[in-house]
Amino acid sequence: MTDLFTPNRRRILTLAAGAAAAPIFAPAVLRAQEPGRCVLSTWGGDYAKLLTQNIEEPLLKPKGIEVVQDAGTEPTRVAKSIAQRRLPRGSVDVICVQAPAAYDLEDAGMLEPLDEGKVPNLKYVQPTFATPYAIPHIYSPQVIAYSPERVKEPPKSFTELEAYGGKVGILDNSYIWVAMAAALKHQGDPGKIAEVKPVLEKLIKAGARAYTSTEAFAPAIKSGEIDVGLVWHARVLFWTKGGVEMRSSFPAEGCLTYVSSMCVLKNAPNKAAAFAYINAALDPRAQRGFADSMGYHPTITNAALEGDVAKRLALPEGAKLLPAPYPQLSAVRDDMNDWWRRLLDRR
Amino acid sequence: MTARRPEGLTASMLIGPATLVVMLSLVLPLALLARYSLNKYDRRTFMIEAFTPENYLRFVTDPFYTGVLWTTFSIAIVTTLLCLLLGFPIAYKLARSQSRWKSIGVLLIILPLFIGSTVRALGWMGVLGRGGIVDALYGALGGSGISLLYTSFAVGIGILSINLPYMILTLQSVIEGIDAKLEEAADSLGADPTRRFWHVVLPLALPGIGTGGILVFILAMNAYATPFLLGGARFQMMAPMLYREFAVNNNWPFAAAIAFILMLTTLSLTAVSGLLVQRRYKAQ
Repeated sequence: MTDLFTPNRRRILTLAAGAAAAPIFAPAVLRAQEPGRCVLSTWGGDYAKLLTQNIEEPLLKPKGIEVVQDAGTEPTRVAKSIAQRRLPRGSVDVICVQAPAAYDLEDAGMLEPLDEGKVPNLKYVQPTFATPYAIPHIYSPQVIAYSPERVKEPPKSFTELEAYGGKVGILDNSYIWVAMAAALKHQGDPGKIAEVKPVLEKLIKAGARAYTSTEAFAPAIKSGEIDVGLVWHARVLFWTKGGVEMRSSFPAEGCLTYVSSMCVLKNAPNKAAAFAYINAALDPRAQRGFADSMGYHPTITNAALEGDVAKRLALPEGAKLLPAPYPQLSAVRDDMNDWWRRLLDRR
Repeated sequence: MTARRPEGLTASMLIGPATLVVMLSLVLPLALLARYSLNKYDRRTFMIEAFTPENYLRFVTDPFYTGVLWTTFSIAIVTTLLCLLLGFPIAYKLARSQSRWKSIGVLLIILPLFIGSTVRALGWMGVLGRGGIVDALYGALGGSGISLLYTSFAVGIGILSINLPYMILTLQSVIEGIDAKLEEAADSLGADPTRRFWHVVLPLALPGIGTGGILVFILAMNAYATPFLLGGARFQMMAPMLYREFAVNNNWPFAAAIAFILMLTTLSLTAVSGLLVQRRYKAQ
């Protein structure tokens, strides 16, 4: 009997976890086994729609690659991939995750190494965002969003933002990015996340608002509940387009940068299609499409923006962009999440 | 000679398929969940096979988690009592009504159930939030800015509005089953309305109160969308916490333990209240 078929509790549990995810994946697994099919694990909504419009339809369909999207929230999709990690053939080819999650997947040994032989467009990736295990698909700097009606002197650093106390808005699901911005200013190193707990505590005690939904931020600025807050520049552009009076201020100490990554799983059933997919994602046409419709910046050097898009997305002279310190972030995240929950409780 | 099939065999053949479905769709996942709850969480591999009670111990020994359970329980009890207080008169009126408008009344009670709890929570956000209806009224009366959103009041009123129809409908059907002649008899024997209520209507409606109470209590204990949207980040209840552990932190073992603790708490409280009602009912 080979090792593969030796039943033990661990294997049975893994199979059970796989079986739990099976009903969701079953059709995708069957389809993925056909040549020319690529199964993409992604967020749903606008992002998924734009992937179809800018990458799948114009760039992959002519090559005979048909894409099947498995849409869901990131943690759920990551959990499914982890549950399937011991299977020699998984059900997903490319997984779209935020850069910190991509680091975690790589740390767990689940990602296929990438190079220019497999993904030729890698040579155009901006060095700030390049990693050997994931492609940066799009990015957006973290900025201080403010209401131009009520904030006459926009805050130019995290310290100046803190002065707004109870008028500061924090997105609950991105609080750790606020912690990194605080660490960058107060510790000179965004990786010293645990060290800035007192800074966040002070903010919360001063009455800073924490919103469980990202969409709640814009109405809060509009109604005057908050005046400032740290969010992605792309969000400010999106809300401004939607008619909310909001501007971005770029902190002088630098902007932590949100990066949306794409990775190929080691047990991807169709690796050739997966490499073709992420190569197409780095195509200038696809990158410009995302910049135009979502307000996220291209991650490659050969996709210069033109006209109105270039004007909207232009970063101020000398704006410093920093990728998040992924290893440090990964090391403290569980502890920080627990601490943050307790900090917020009944305050 | 005709062989008669044993009665037991026929019965088991009839209930067999249904039992199988229940086993596969309910008992097996629960057993799997119970097994997960004894595992250990690991950030990289996400679940390490183990046989440890540490997830349960973590919950019961940490005042933060027991506090969340207590908050959930308090909200559930308060909303259940309010449902009963507000629901009983409406249910009684509907049950005893001979009017042709009765069906319209029942329809009005049922109508909110056509709208999902998330949508209704969003509606409450518009009422209670900054710039909402309450804020505007308060402003018109001379006050300056009021937001009731993200408070226990908001969560309470949200859950109350969702659960009230269930209570009214349950009570109404029970009250309709109480013979109106009994009340007339009480009247003719000289009982005033208060006495008639306490000694005739209430004891007979007790099973309905028990069922309705249990129904809305379970719904409130497990409420997810309402506390998530109306309570915000600073107000914690069990179901949103469970979801966060499961889907955000990816800590399946701890989430499974929370699920069992919530389920066992709800079940035991339900069983106790069921027994109390039964005893009281028998005592009548």
